[in-house]
Amino acid sequence: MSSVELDHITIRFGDFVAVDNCDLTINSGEFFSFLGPSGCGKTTILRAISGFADPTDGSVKIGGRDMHGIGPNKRPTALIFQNLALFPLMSVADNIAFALEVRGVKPKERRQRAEELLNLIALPDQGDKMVSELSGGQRQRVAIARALAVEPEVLLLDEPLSALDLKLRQHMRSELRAIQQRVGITFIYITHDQGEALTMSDRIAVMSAGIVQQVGDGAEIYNNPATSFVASFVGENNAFHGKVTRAENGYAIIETNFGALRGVNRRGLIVGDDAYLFIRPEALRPTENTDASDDTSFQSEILKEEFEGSFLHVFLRSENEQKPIKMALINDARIARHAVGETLGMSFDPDFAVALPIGELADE
Amino acid sequence: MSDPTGSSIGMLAQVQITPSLPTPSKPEPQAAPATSTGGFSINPSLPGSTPTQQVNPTRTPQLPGGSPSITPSLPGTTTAPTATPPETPVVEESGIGFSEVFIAIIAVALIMLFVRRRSGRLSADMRLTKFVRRNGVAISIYLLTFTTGWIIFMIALPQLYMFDFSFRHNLLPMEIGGPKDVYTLKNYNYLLFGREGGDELLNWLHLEVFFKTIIASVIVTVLNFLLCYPLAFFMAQMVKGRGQRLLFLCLLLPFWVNEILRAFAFKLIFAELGLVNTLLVGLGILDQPYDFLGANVALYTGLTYAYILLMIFPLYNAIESLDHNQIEAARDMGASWLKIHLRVVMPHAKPGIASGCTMVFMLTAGALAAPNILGGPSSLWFTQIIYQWYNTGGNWPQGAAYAFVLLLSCIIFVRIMMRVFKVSLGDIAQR
Repeated sequence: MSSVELDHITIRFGDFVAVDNCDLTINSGEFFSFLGPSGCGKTTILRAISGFADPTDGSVKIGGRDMHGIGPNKRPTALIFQNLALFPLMSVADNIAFALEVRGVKPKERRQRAEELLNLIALPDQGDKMVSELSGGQRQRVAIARALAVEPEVLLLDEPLSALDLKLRQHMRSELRAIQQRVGITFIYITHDQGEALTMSDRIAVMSAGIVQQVGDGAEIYNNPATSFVASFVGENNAFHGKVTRAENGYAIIETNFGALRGVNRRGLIVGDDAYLFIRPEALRPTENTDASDDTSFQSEILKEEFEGSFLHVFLRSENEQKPIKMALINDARIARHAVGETLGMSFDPDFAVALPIGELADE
Repeated sequence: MSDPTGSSIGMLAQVQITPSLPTPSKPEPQAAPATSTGGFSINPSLPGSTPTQQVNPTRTPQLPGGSPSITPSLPGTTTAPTATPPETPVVEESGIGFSEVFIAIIAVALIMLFVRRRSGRLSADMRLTKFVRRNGVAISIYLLTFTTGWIIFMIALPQLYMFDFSFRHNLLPMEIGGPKDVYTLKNYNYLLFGREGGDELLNWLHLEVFFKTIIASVIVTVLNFLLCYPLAFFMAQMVKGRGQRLLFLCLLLPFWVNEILRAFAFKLIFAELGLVNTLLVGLGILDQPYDFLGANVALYTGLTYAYILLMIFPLYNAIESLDHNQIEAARDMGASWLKIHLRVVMPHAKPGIASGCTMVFMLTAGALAAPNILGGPSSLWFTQIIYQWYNTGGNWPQGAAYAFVLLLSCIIFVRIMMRVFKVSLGDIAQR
């Protein structure tokens, strides 16, 4: 078991900066995810850790050892590819034992180890099948077993669930997490699916355009986003644009199209700053009394309602045609439906609203 | 393409092409071929070609001026290029000439026109089959006519004709169809046992040449594979875009130069005072020029290079379809480069390897120009003996028998190799 240290790494391809000064430490035995849209540099980081790419600046340390100049075959890491890259011309057992084969382990021992791993992934006695005879989920597990065969200190997973259908994906999430807890090694997981990242990870690094925007556990990232990108990328969020008119007692009051609104000010916004106020759909509640002087409520016109069972989603007119304000109401027996065109008052707890400096928003 | 027939065509084509060689050496007066031993002429003595050998029934074209440098001399052959043999009806009978092909094409075109005009009822009937429905009437007829025509006229008939020929006596034109014109195994017997009543138990000279040809072809094929595999891998997996196109061009362009010219260029390079010797002596590696031609270095080099594309492209296609992640996965799991190739790349590329090796082996065993031009004085390629039977020896049935023995042996050899390496015929035709 080893920690992985990314010491100020920058990776450039020509003029293109794929990873910009990434500096973080992944603890030993941790399930760590890199979350970000495609092209944000997360796969490049993974390749740098596994040894397929070299950082232009900075260094990768695994277990305290600088990995510079050490090839992928010599690193204590194992990589699971996005398309799994199982060997189609070998049996399942041969696939799993391939790493042992190249290390010169005797066939009998190999076979035994393969059986152990097949038990671990709950595919006992399937070793003689060909890869093509397995289902998508089974292949997934074989890929994990193959990577675990070398007893790596760090397992790297490059969006391994993206090819599976939704149901299987959800099942494999808990399966992966369970396997990780059983073997107890460091998992570094790459994904663009925030559901995967939030449910499985101990900690998450959210990335955009080569820059690590925030590192934290799921709740921290969801509740206290550090940048406007994280706020808009992780979960759903309503963004209100405006200028800061007052900053006091850890709150910022922002003058928006819907009047003055208050939110938590952790990033030290001062009067006159351009800012976003982010309010989650589930933080909004309908209210009867909206007062112009009140900075925790506002009004808007209802555009449509969508009933989803456990939630009722209400869409209201915003400053942006494309992105209406969204309110999510938990369905209880007494939930009230509203007519389209009606003006509705909404209030929120200012501790659930986050004021952040203006910046990049994730497009959905 | 299915290999055996394909390569046999190649072989026959070469047999036919070679007589029309431009003569590179000074025109000599109509010297009797037996005296021409200068230069690099191959001078094999065919055992048992008896002085009583009958006059060539001459279906073989003779070059005016002859070609002393490549004419193998058969001692005892009374035939001289100057002998004007009588025209025989066999000429019309044997060849599927240019005119026939031309007429066939015209006929197809006419049929297509006809079909166009009266497509109504005819197409209504034909549209019942799925093939026609999918391709349309005109194209279906074209495809069917072309492929069946190809198979029958280009492959089956000529080969069958030669096969039949190999079981006949070498008769005078006037005797053909007469009482003497019966089937015999003597042509095949000859290859094994030599002349009837000869002193030797077996026809060692020809058998030795035969086995040497097969073994040399295997060596050339292996050499070719060893040369091409790294290059094909590099082109398929390591370079992309402009670099790849440049490499392809570099490979293809030299083959715009015709085979004969290339062979003679090799001859010049490897000659006693050629580039290689000058270089090696100049650098002090050799004390005196080495006889590369005599040692067949030039021959093997020339043969290897001649069919390099037929190895490169199947290999390239096969390796190119391999998911690069599989290579990286194997590397990540600690596999050495050798292991990656043996366990991942080569198993995947096996059909391509089989296809390339089959092609190169068949064509090498059937090569004529390169052995003629580059072969050392002591070496003889089996095709050269075949060529001699047809051309100088004037014994077509004997030549046909030899050619069929070569073809069948090559097919059997290839099939055994495919069995050993567990490759099916379908794998080979896949690309």
